[in-house]
Amino acid sequence: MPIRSIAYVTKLLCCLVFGYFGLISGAFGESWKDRVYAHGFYTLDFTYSDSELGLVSNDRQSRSYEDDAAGLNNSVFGGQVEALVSDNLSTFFQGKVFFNDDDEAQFTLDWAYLSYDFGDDITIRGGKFLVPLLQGTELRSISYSRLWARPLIPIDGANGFHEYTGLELLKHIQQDSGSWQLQLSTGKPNHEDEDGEIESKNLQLFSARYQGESFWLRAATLHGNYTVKDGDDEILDDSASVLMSSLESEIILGPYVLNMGYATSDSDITVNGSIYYASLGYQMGHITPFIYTSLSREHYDNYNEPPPPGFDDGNGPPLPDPAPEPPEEDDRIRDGDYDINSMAIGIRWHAGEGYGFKIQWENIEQKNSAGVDTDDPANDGNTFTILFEGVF
Amino acid sequence: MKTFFLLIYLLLSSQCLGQMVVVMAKDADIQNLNDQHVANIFLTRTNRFPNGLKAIPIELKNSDIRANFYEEISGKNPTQLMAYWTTLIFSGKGKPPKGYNNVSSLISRLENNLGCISYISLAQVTDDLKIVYRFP
Repeated sequence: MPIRSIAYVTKLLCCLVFGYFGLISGAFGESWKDRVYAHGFYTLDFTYSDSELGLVSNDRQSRSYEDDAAGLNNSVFGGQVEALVSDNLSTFFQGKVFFNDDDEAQFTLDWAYLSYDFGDDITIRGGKFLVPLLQGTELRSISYSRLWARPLIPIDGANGFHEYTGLELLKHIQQDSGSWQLQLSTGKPNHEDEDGEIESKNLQLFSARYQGESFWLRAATLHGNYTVKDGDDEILDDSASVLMSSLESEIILGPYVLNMGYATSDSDITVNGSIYYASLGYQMGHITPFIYTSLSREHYDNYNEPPPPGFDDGNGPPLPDPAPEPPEEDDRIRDGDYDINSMAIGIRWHAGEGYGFKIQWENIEQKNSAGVDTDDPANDGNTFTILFEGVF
Repeated sequence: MKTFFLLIYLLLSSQCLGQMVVVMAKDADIQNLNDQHVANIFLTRTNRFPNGLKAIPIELKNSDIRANFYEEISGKNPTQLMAYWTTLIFSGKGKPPKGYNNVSSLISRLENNLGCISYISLAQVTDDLKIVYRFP
């Protein structure tokens, strides 16, 4: 980019920022500092993997971990700014910087919305959001929000439906010992699909979260519609849909912290999946040793892709007459599951308010009764992670 | 001897907590709040006072009484409280009270905005503030 263009863009941005804060403070005769809330987060993550692995990372759905390699490229840094334009109207932006597959720093804007408070704890928001299916989808980049190191959801946690642009209606309800947070949303998902075979159309979701004194519980469900295309951009199915649901909880019992979650997806075309996880931590002052286990299961039912035009029941073409043994050269996917099991132990150290360290060893193992081609990568191996994390 | 020091510590802690009050501007429409109102407002379970007016909780950064205050209203220690805020802040579902670096800035903001509410020591209450909640 020419230097003159950079200077022009810089000046334009400065004018916009100062004009924006000037508008906020001028409109209310208050310092803009009183009406702006800023927060940030960071994770400096050093991970060693002894095998080639393809796992969810701090910044996106799937990152390749190379065989016998170590690095800091799972680190992520981000921040947010919320500005109260009036007593009822506010704007919110949250973005992050991470390292992409080429190990170059990249910026993405995860949240960007305008919010209007109707009173009576009802808020409507319009803009770009992350979906609330399991905390790991919504708070994937915020390592400090979880006990363990790597985001839990392996592979297809939300089937690529991680973010959307649309409208949200939020309602808070207070009770004597806790509160409800209800969320109703509609919009267009920005589907994460490298092959471009899934073109999302719309989604509707509902989430309910109860915060008690020593626990929280959240349930969410999402219905999405999408179009399936082949590699030549030909439409194979224009009315495919997916239904995803999740249930998640954290319970604190004295020094024990128990987290559990379950998510499932039922799709017309792509494979159906489910995820289970549980972790248990024991708080000893600032130190919390923990264990966790998770299972990601994709169920295949004679599935072959891509499905032929006009065939939209999600099961692909039927196999020929059953044979006692499939021929050796038959590499079609069979009835069965593709599982990824993960087991980890680690220690979290709260070094201070808002920052700390984690050390974690994780074993990942796959079981492949469906005959899915998993050479790239195999998802069998171990990772060792040391990270420094924080929020401010 | 240990018991003696423990009793002294408990007595002093109780004294500190007894001096902590929740305040608003003298002209604010709110007269009294109960413990549940205070907890709901400062934990951002609601952004409204019982009369429907907008509530803007603010606080002093690095205050000596901050940990006591949140322990009292939520039962959470600073680490648990930070975990609570983290899930809300970064999902856009809530934010902690705005923090001010010194008492004079905090009190000035309280006096000049009828929706602002904060907690301070009893000795810091000025003529332009009123107490809307006292800890038992």
